[in-house]
Amino acid sequence: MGSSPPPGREATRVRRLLGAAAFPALFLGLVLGMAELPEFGDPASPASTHVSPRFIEDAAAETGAANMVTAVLADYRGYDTLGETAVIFAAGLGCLVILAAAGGRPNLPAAGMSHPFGSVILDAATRILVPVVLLFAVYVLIHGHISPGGGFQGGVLFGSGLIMMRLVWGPAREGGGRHPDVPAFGPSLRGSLILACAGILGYAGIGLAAMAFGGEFLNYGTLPLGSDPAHVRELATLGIEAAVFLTVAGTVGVLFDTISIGMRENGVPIGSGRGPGE
Amino acid sequence: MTTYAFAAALFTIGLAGMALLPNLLRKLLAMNVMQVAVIVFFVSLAFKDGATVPILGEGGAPVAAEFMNPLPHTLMLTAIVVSVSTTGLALGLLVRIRSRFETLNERRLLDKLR
Repeated sequence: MGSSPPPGREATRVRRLLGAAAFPALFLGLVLGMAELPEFGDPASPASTHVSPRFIEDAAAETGAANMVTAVLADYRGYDTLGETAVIFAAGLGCLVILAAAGGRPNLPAAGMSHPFGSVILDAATRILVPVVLLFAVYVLIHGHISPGGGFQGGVLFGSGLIMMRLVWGPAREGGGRHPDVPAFGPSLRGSLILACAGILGYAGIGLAAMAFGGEFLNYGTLPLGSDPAHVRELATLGIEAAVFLTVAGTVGVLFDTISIGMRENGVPIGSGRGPGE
Repeated sequence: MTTYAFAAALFTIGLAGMALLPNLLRKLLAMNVMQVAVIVFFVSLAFKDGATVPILGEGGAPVAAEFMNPLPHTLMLTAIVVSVSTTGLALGLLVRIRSRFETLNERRLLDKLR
């Protein structure tokens, strides 16, 4: 401080200023490019005229789902959604490999905060909130056909309920006859992983079952679940949504557990006390 | 048009944050802002004047002009959850970087890697 900065720093500052000046130019370029787009809300825009009227007009009759987003997600574009679900699962698996399973430990350590908060108010509020959150998650899953909702949303809600329990109650029960490394509330890391695996396998399994009964992969119309094809597709779609729910809820649990374990095992302090510029 | 400009502004803010902020965690948050910009853009493409949400209510056969385009909503629904997962994976990487190099500052990291 006080003396002139070293020459290297000066060059870095000039480069940073030049870099910062590039972003207003990028913004202008984006806005100019967007001027070519169809008017906002134009019903005749290309995005709304090509395949979308087919989805809107036929989805309810063909798939039995009043929520067209669910019909497109789990039926018309089921193959795409299988890929998305696999991406989510792979992210959870990647986090596990990076953090918790490093060094080839055979037994995964217990996850969660190192000890419960011990606040009566927090504890009582969580006791009331968590069941409501978990129940609402299942409601969102089941009502995905007729109202906003579905497997992704319900799964994230369920996962957030699990995280809330872990944050407030910690990993292990004091005494109580259970192994101290077993989480007292919610599935363990292994359990979350099994949930996620069951979800992705169930999704692919429904697709393969459709093949076994003579249809294409993920073309649910051939499944022997009844005579009305729309009803069959509705049931199969619910199965798909439940599989997505399991994968997302399990992966959210795996992500939280592995990161909290990783921070503890790698000696990363939670809240290092240093400023944000660190 | 203002919605598109808003998405462009968010995208620029996010990209600038990724390029200019020194802390890797802040870069990650800036990347999330960028993802939100893409989501805003797609969802605004689905909007149609005089149309309602793409959920069939009571009444007769659906008419395409009465409902918004469900396809961008579907794509963004999955994109949101994928962005949650990528954020989680990136946080995992940050924990490893922090434990190995004891900093998340880009310049100090580059100094240590040299």
